[in-house]
Amino acid sequence: MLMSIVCKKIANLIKSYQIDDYDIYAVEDNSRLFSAREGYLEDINQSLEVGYAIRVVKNGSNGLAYGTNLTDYGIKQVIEAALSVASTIAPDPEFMLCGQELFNPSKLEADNSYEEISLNTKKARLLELEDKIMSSHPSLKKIEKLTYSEGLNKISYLNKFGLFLEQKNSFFGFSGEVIAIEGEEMESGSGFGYSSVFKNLNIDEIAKYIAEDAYKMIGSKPIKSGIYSVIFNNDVSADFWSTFFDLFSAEQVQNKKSILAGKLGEIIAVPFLSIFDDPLIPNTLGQIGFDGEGVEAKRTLLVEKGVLNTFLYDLKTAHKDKVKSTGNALRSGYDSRPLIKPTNFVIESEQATDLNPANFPGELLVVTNVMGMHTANSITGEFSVGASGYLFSDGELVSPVKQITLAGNFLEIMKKIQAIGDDYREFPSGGNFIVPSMLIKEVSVSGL
Amino acid sequence: MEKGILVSKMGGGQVNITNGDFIFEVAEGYLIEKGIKKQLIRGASLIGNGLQVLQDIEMVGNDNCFLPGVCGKYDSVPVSDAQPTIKIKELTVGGC
Repeated sequence: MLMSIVCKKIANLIKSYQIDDYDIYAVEDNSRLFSAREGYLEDINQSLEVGYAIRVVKNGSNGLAYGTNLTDYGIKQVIEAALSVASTIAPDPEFMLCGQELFNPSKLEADNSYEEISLNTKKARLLELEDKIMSSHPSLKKIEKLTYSEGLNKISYLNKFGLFLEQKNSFFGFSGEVIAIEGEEMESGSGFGYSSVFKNLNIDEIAKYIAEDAYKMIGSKPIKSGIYSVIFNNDVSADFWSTFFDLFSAEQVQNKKSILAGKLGEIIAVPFLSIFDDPLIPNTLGQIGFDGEGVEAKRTLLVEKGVLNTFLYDLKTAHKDKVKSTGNALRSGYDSRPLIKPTNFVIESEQATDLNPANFPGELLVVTNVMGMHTANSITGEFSVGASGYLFSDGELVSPVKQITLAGNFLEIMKKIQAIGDDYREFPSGGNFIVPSMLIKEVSVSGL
Repeated sequence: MEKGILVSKMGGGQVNITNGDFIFEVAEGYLIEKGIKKQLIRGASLIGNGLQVLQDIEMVGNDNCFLPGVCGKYDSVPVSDAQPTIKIKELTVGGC
């Protein structure tokens, strides 16, 4: 791989500098984006980006600099920039690089569809998706946006002790937004589907997801304020878990920015819920062999049967708490420093069941979309968000619903889960969330 | 005002530009009872429909004010808007 050669070149040049420790992270990122409208391919975008980041430690201080210039001169500029940062910053005794930890990373199953499947095939699938969406229902009048995107990301890592690691990751997927119009009423719906394996993309499922999100909202209206049993659809579950993921970050905990601080060993969720971070699941969007700091990927049990077992760590926070890094220091590109993020964040329950609204007595609100989730407080767990979905009564659909809010505290929600669904799906959003729908009791809903 | 809420500062929010529904966080707000400003409230959000709200405005103040901000709908664009204090007949408030 090109960037592996670059890593070795950098290591060679860095020898002439006085540095206590260093690591090199180099990326070759290939990506394509197709957009379609009315049976035609509107746009094709293809890009190749290469870059590298060098972290140095000198006299107890550390610095990171990144660059894209692959010449000797360019590389030296980046080394010197990193040293300049280190000489300006106060020493940080807790910071550390992975050091001499040598290991053989697990091999990722490579899907070569980025290179092997033709652009024409991909274009055809996108247009097929558009056709399926538009023919789902007569009210669907206009595609607002419809794209196919894919990427092939090659990462190389090299440290001072000769730990040399490489991996390739791919993703493929569709995303779309469609408008439904019936009489005076206009509603929009959106959806997406991504996978690390091209042939696993299910066009029928994705089309249904996008289309229904729009046309089933025609006739939607608010419901009476009150306390309801609510099903968070799997994409809404993913919105919640990804918004509140930071509660589990050791960095947030140590900086007193997580209300889970001091709660290790305590019950924080219902006893049939376990949560783990698992980068080893094959053919998933979050699968990795090593993290952004060269630490071996490993499965971490975050919550075991409702009890908080551990937080997620990078090298520095692990050093502070005198534990081992969980391998969750991820870089979103060569130009970002490693941050604590999930790999595959998985909700597990021995009691996962089919949460079919038809089976529930009484009133049940199924939430399919939330709005304003970025206003939620990820430190305390509080949220007050807009929502839309469907109201059921004794298993029968009463009406689609919109213009309501859900409010509460996510820590209380974790203890009010009544059932976990079996409709797992991958939701890549700052990490891959593999989560199902959840049934929650007694949620505060504001409406009429 | 018999009973209502004074919103002094709005936080972030989101708008559905197809149907006009919006949600916004109340960053600073107070309960009003019998015309008197009472305690600060927290964790509330406002939800409604833009077109409907325009028709539900009951009173308009004379204190026009421009405020800069950013719109992050599709990109990140600096924007500025201006309006005076307005009294809205009714709006759904989310909270516990």
